[in-house]
Amino acid sequence: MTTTVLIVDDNEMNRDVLSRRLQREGYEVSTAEDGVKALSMMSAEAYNIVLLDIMMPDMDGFETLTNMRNLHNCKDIPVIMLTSVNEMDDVKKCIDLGANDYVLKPYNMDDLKRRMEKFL
Amino acid sequence: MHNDSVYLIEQTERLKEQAVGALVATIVVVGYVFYFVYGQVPATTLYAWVAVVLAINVYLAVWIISVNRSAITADNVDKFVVAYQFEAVIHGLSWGYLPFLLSQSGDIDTQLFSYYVICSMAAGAIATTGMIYRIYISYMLPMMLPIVINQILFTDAKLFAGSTIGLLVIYIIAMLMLSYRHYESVLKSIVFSRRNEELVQDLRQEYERAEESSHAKSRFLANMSHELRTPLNAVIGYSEIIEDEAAESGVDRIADDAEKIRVSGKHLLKLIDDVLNLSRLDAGKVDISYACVNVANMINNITPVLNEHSAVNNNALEVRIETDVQKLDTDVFLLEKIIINIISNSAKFTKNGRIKIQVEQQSRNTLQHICFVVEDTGIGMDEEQRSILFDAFRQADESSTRKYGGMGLGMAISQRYVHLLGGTIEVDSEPGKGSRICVCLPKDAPVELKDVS
Repeated sequence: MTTTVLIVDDNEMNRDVLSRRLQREGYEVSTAEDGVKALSMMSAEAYNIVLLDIMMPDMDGFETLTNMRNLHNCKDIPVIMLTSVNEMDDVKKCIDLGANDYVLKPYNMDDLKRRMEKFL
Repeated sequence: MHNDSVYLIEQTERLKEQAVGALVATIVVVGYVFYFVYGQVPATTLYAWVAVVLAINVYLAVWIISVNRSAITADNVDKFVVAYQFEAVIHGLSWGYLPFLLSQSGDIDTQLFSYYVICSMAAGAIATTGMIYRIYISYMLPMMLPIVINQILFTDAKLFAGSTIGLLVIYIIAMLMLSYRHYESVLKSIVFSRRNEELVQDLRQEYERAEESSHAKSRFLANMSHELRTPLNAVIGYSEIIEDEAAESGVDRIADDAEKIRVSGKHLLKLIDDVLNLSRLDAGKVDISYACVNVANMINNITPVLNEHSAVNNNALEVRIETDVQKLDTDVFLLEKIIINIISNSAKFTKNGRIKIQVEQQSRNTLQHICFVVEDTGIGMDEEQRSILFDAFRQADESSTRKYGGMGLGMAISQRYVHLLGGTIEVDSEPGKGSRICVCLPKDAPVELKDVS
């Protein structure tokens, strides 16, 4: 069975690059450009893992994460934060809010895969 | 002039502060004089004199209290000083009358007593009114000059009178000089304290401005780095895709070119991150959050990244974790950066060699430490290179930048992180013999932090 991944990132190129690379690795990838869309997708379908950006308009990573953890069927979905070095304080906050791990942009594919596989 | 009135206001404030003391002293002296000469001079005249002096003092007291209610300003300070001066003349004259009063006793001792009293009043007044010279003169001269006149007019013993007059004149001149000195030093101290205040104020403003600009700088850097990073991530990501796809389709030339784009992109990104991290360190904005870290897991997590860095110059990476190494209380984010930076630095100066990271437990100063020892088979460093290894931008010396790439901010950042975590970083290297960099961190978090978490 293929693993389903939801990428939440407001930047179109980021979504494109990451999803294409993950598809090449054999994952089934869906994308959402903001937290609102992501939440509605998650309530419709169960994903195996979520890759979540922090800085997004409308609903940012923190809010999305908090809302996710309050949704009954999304409580236990592993979440890996997509982040940059200068957002370290934010990452710590996300982990307190229930994120499982983080990965630095630009992604080292081996690193990302390894971190994802830990939770699958 | 603006400044003069500022000083005069300050002088007047000090004058007001002394007014109560002056009043009390005056009343005591009046009481003393009354007690001493009672019965030697006509009672009604004595009573009248005491009444006049006390009335003047009561008037002064009431006036000072009423003035105290409203602040002295540049507009009313001159009026206040003139009024005080007028009061001082009256007050001085009331004392100047004393020798005339006491000369009625016909007793030379009594008369001399009045001179002593007045001379000491003149001396004491320096402290109470001397901060404004013209007020002191307005008080002292009306008080002292009548003695001289009295001495000339009413004394029979001419020789004795003459020498007394001489002494009195010398005394008056001495008091004038002394009080002028006093006035000058008061003025100087006011000028200095004013200037001090201004300096402190300037400094505070300067400090606030610097704070504000440092905040603005941090904000700018944070925004800028996000703006720079986003397109750069796309450059790196797409070049990776091109690289992979070209390699799969066997178009090696394109794959090579794409790799060059990817490597340059990553290099640029690293520079941006380093500059940003350094500025955050400078601004004291790096927060430490201690957590209990499983060392082996942490190293395993970053091994792919370490491999990638080692592979830059075709180096092999060897990781060895001693069995007694288990947990470490530290900030895992900072520790990861430290290790990655050190490995990356070693890889930069090592070609087709080996880089080894060994983690071991050591006891230092009776405290258990976890030490990360990175050894490479690279070109090594001489003493001078070792001494500038941790200097931000010093490694940016052109020749080494061109030869080995990178500005070497990573080591400067690592050293600061290690110090933030309470650890040490040591370098051991000789030219041609590789380098050994050892980072030791206390195994347990500082006590106060442990209690919190």
